[in-house]
Amino acid sequence: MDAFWNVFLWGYIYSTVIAIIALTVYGMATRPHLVKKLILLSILSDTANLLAVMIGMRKGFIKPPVFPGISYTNHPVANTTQLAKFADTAVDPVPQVLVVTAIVIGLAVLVFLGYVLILLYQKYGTLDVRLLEAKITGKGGKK
Amino acid sequence: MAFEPPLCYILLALFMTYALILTYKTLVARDLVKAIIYSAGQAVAYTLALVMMAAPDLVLAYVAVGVGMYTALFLFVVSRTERYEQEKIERGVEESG
Amino acid sequence: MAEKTGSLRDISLAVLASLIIILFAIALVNTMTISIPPQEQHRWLSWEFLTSTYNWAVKKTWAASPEVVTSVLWDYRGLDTVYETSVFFLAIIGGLMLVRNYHPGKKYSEKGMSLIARTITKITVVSVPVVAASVALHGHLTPGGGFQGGSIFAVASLLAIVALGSGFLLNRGWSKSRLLGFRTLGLIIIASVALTLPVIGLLDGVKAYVIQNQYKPWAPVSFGYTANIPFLGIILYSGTLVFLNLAEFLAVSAGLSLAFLIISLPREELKKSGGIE
Repeated sequence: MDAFWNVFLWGYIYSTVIAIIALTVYGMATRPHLVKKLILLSILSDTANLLAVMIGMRKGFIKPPVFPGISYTNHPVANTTQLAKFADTAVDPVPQVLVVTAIVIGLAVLVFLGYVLILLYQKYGTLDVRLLEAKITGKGGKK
Repeated sequence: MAFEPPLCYILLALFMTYALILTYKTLVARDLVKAIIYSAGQAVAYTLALVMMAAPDLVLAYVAVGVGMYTALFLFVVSRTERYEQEKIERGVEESG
Repeated sequence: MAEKTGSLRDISLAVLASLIIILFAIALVNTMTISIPPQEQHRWLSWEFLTSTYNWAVKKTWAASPEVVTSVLWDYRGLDTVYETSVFFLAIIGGLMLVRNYHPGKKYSEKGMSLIARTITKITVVSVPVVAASVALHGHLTPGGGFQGGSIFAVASLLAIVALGSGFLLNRGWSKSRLLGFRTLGLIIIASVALTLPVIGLLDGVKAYVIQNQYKPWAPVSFGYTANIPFLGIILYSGTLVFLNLAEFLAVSAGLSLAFLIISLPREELKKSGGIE
């Protein structure tokens, strides 16, 4: 495939990632409802993870970073040529490791924020930021 | 898991546009349950994009976390709190506040 | 967006956000981290990892596991994963604030979905944990691992909560303290596996590292990588990876099931147990 077609396709993929980041950041800033902000936060963290994996991509025939054909009982010795051929076609494993960690922490944060929202609703009866601000300041109004 | 190069990049671009459209619809949807469903669809698009990028560990993680748990968590939170996002709150509260 | 198009605040926020994103993108492209189209040759770090985790010839820095992602996650960056698991642990502990004064013992309603959904769920709730266990226990051989298996298990318990009613699990002994007990058991296993080699090194007067997996010339203690099981013959268990995956599977599945059990308590139960006046 010629360079232009490849460049255009990948330029388009990266621009959609950046467009999603822009949309979610904008949505988190302007949408008044806290649960909507939580949903957009989860989309933003997923997009950042995807961007990290995308940086680890390689042109050509890519394979997962797992040496094929090994099981509990069948574990042949892998000589250096096999390893070199495997490493040559495998995709970059480092961003995938970081993203697994990021998913765990993202899930932990979102589960915790879900609880906080329920408690917030129990105490103030609303999750709309504009009403909450009035209620938290005890009808103190705009500072 | 590994598709030939030209096909997997085209599918990746397709899934990313699908995710972009669903993100926009999540942003605009007033009914939060609809927004959650859109975000679940968007998580499916991301899982498929990860399949195209030969990341099986992340596919397994995202199938369980992104599609399953985020949707259920948000639906539980919405069922315990309110469902609709008012665009125009009644001005009275804000002025008097 | 249809509503409030004219407000200056939204437009300025949008401009600011896109400005930051564009600068971020330019910075990334200029420092060659993102190359459009993706680059051809390997980064040296990924080449190092890919060729060293299952390299029988050079056992100096190998992890005895063909699965590069899990071996990097638990062997080369093991301490980071331990801290990440503790972050996850503390998030669930923080989530327990919703049930501060929650007194179990009351029989909970098992009002789930329709009969068809209940019977199907009763079948899948048994089969999904089998998949989760296989994903977790093959973590060091094929794609998967402790966290992936644990979250698949949590989806099964989520299914049971939604379709069979949260009472189904609560009445069958899935109490808060028992699930917390399993969580802590998982973390104790992780801690003990992480600390066995340093203790052995200490006793032998030899240098050894926390979460060390295989023999290193400068740290001559090792977990070993193959074992002769009577019926299976020689199996490859790649040192600490299989134990850490098992412990992570235990911790994550118990933690997430607890998280969803708490959040699925009936509304008035939550209000009463949340301690909010």
